[in-house]
Amino acid sequence: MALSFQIESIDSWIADAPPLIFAHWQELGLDLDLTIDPDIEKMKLMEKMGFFFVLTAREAGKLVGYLLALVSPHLHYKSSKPMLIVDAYYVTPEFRNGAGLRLLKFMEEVAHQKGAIKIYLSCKVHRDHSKLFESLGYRLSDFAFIKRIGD
Amino acid sequence: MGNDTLGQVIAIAARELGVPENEITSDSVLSTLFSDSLEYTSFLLCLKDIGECPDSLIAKSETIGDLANGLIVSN
Repeated sequence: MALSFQIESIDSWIADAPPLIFAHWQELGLDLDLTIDPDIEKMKLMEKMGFFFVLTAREAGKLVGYLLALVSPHLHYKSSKPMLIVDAYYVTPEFRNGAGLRLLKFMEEVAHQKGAIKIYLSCKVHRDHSKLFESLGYRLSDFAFIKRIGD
Repeated sequence: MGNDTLGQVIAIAARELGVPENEITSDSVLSTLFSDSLEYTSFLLCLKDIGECPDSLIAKSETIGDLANGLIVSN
């Protein structure tokens, strides 16, 4: 069955996304005592303002992956063209034989269409996608650290 | 799609996968051939020897034939 990739409204995505969001959190979340609770209303507001996008992968209408991204002039480079920051991405395990790559390539296509000149993309240490990202032309730029200081 | 281009794409896929060329056809499904995105990317990088493979083509291609058909072959 063929996969399709598209930009979707948050309303359309969230209608099907909860099981995937939960699986995403279970697989990649670092603090599972913090309940996953996406702020959909805030996402919709950002979508309405034109800088938040949901890209989806579907097979025969069934949601099998998504990528959330912000496209905006960077806070540090106001006079430069927009940059795309990937907020989160997920592909269901049964589609991890190329669908992730295709979703990333679709994201790059969208980034070009939106006039973005740079893409920020990250992965979890325990799901290291460095080799894939580097093979796609990304370069390692940051190490991120997290410290839990409250409940 | 030129037969030459399809043949070249099949040859590269066979080489990358370590299988005989006759096991790959125009209808071979990419997600079945490659075990993960990294293996698929390695194959795509090799296609640069033949031509350009736009992001949009990669996103929509399901089969070897789709890729060969959309490849922008350099003269």
